[in-house]
Amino acid sequence: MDPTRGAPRQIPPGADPTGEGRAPSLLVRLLTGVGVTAFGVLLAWAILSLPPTAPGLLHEVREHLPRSGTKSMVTAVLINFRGYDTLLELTVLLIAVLGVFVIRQGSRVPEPPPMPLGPLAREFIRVLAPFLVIFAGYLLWAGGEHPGGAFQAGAILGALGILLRLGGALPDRAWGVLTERLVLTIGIFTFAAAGLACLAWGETFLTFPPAHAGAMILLIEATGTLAIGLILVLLFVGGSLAGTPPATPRPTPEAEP
Amino acid sequence: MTTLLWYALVGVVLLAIGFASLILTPGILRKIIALNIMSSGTFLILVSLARRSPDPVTQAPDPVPQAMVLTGIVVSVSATAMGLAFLLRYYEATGRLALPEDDLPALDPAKQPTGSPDGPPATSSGDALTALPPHAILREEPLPATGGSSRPTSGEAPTSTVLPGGRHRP
Repeated sequence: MDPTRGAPRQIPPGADPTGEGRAPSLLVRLLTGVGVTAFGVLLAWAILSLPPTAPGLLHEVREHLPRSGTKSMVTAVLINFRGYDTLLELTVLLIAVLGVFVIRQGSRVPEPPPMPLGPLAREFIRVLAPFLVIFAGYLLWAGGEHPGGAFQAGAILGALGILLRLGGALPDRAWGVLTERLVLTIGIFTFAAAGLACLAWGETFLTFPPAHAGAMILLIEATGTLAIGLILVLLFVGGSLAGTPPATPRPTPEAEP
Repeated sequence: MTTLLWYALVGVVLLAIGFASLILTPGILRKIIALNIMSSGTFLILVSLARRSPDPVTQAPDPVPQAMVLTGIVVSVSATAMGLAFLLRYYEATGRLALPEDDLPALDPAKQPTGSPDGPPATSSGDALTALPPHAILREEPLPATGGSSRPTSGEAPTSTVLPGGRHRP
């Protein structure tokens, strides 16, 4: 039925074999080169002409740091002073992962099976996994005083999930639909709920009262870590891992957010 | 010139390289990578310029640009993932890796079997797809199953098709 079955498709002369389209014309290349060089030179000149020191926003941050509920300036800016930004940041992540779900849902090409890793790599992942969980927890906790916090800890959890996926320990339909949806949205829900709770203390939305700010930031960051980790894994997988497990019992995967 | 200014200038170079690549390369995947290089350059500029306002006690840089870069990385990652998902979908629908305005007229529709319902079946579904303008295929999603001329659906007998990337599609 298909004469070319089993053989690579013949690329006709004149077609580009990579399917990546045609290179731009010489004029476009010249103009782009000149324009981009001018842009770079202008930007470099702007940076070089800046005064070597600037007041910045550091003093404002230092001034309000005691009332922010955390000792880390970056965390204070991220969760407290610019809370709107981070709340919408989590929303961006959620929209992205939902978009990937929708785009990939109509896919007709089945995902290639995960590359079988050798026994050494699998054993390495097995040894590494618990340490990554501890490391993520440490980063989350350290975010109260040092660099660290939800995004860094979430990135570690995401890396752990990707490793488990590549090692075959994170199968399709790894968890229930409800669990996945809950963890995906828990970061936003907690953040928004904490922001709304500020209203009860007579503050405005996302203005954490200093007495409770520390606990609220920790709660927001802990739930945000779980959500960010799971979202990163699902962005890597390119689809949902939720579903009812098959009839044959599988070994339960490593604990994942 | 201080070290931090050097980092900022490296960021400018990265930004310019990514910008040029974004314009000059027709392939979507390369454009996505170029956007990532551009955002890396931007982040490098931002964090190095944050050093211009150090803490008088701890010498820690301005925390606000750091927080902005932290959130910017997240946007970059999620935009990249979504772009790659779009690219995969586009490739599955058209067999092409470039947008129509950047694409070559890869196969002449008049000389190739285009897989019309009455005509002879195409030599492979990849040909039938690339012979059509990509946006036409996207609009007519899903294509009607007409013998071997359209993409194999799940109900059909399995036929092996090699897409332009050399990837087998069962």
